[in-house]
Amino acid sequence: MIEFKNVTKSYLQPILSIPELSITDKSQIGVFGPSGTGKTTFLHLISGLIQPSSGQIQVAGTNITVMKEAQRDVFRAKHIGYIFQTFNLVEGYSAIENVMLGQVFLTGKANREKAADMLEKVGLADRMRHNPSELSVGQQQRVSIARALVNDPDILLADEPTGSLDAASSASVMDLIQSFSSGRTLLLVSHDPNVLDRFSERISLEEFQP
Amino acid sequence: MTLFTIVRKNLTKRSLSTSLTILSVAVGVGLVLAVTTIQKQTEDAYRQTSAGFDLILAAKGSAMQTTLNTMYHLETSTGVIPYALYEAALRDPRVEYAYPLYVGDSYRGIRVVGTSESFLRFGEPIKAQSFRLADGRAFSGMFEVVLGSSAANRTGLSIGDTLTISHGLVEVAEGAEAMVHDHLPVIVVGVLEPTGTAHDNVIFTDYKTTTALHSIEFQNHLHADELGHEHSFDEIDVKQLDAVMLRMKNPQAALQLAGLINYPTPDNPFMRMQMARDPFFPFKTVIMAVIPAQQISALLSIVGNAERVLKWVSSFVIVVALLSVLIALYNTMEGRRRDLAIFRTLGARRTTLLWIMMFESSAIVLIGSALGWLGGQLLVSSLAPFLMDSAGIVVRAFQHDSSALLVILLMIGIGILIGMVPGIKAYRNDPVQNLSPI
Repeated sequence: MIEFKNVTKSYLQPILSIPELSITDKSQIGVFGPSGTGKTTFLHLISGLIQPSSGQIQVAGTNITVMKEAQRDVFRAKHIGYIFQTFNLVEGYSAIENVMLGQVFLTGKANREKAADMLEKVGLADRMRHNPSELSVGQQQRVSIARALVNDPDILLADEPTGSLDAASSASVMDLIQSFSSGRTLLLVSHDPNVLDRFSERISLEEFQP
Repeated sequence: MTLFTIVRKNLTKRSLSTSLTILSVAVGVGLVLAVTTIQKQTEDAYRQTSAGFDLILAAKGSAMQTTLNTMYHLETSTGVIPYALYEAALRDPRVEYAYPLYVGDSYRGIRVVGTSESFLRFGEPIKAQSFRLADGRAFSGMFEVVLGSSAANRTGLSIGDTLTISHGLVEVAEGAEAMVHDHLPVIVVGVLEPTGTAHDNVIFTDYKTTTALHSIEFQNHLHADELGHEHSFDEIDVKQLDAVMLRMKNPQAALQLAGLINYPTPDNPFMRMQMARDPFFPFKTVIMAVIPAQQISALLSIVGNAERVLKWVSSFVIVVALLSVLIALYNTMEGRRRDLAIFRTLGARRTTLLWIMMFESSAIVLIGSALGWLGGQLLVSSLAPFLMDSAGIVVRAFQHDSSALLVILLMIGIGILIGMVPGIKAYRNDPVQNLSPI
């Protein structure tokens, strides 16, 4: 369960104001809203990368707003898988090394077999040693998905995961994300109506504008 | 993959910059370690060698020249002294050992030192340590020589080999005509173990052999000798030596004897009469007494200044190298903001990023220091023959040296501290602000 209580977030001016919001476990939710409505901020708040200006956020039964930053980092490594529009793969690290990075920061040591297994599951068994620059954008996003899933997180956060892809790749990546998100909570931000159509449950952040 | 793998990958990603930074550290550390090693071993070698003898009696001249000539086989002698002085020293009850020294020949640039057999038996090339034979025996008859360990290595000579030695101390250039005692070949009868002193690089023979090689009377005797009988030391009439080295029973006696020989004779008739009873008094006008320990201290204080300058220059190179580590790492921070932000989204703590940066700088300094140590030792190795020839000292590389370990540990400590500067920048890196592609 993810719960927001009287949460506000401001930078130079207020961005989000969420008096109350509950997201049940294992729900699959499309998040949308015009630019500037705080979609990425919404995901960062859930992941604990940033703290709300006020209010409380409970994630997986834990009030992350009272946790210290280092505790939130560990919590994020354990419970959250992050997929980005720009993939955010680290150049100079091969596909499998990028996946293993997710493991190192959780346990201090990577499990190569598990990372290879994840890449195989996303269809990149023959691309493990390739650098990100040697992969197509669709393949890069698959590596990013494998990395997000390698620690078997409860919650998958996807920020415009198809924003950089063509229609064919977009559909394929969405199939992959949805197939791996069963049994987990998925919050996926998108502008794309075709992507949002895949979700029966949606959150419009326009509702939470201050 | 572990954090160390991440450190390694980060360094190899910028292999050129990393290599150059490591090289700069290696140069700095190598220079400091080479200077320190040479300085320490030079000082030890000089002090230890001078500790074996209390007094040198030689012809009036430069005390330093005499010390370098007799103890380190450098320079030339200040002149000759009467042989009777050596005989007086042998009879003197204050003297524990007296060793004659007569030098004038060489073999392929290696000095042939004429002395007594007792020098090899009782002489101490370094404090409380006598010469030891690695092979063969000490010279006992005419035209026999014993090789120092380096001399044996350099010449390739071994027991039973004969050699003809040249007049003079300087190696004759190829093609030039040397004055060779080719009618009087000498035979190798022994090889000494290394002592780590200049004595390793000489050929020892009996002073009477040296005399024979230079005695016109003896040469005439040889030409007139048609029967070709065995020659003995009894046929040699030694008249002069280069120096006499003394080991006194009481070190205080060395100071008293030096005073007697070096200071002007007092006008007081009673004191004059007292001094005249000393067996060395008759030689006072032609000889000087040199206390080698005093000369070596003076020499080391002069050389020490140059070494201090070298050490400062080397230390400055190290400081520049450490700054280059800092600059190299700090300059990469701009390009690494996004990578660090990605690490944070994957669960890396701020302190983890700080550690990564500190490990990176430590790895550069550690590898640079290790290479510097190796380079420094190779430098010492390559300079060793030059130091032996020019300064008469044996310097050895790859010896246990706690100061080298201290320098390397200090470097690693500073490396960790240097890593804190980019580390703190990484620590402060805002993941949300830096996630977008740069």
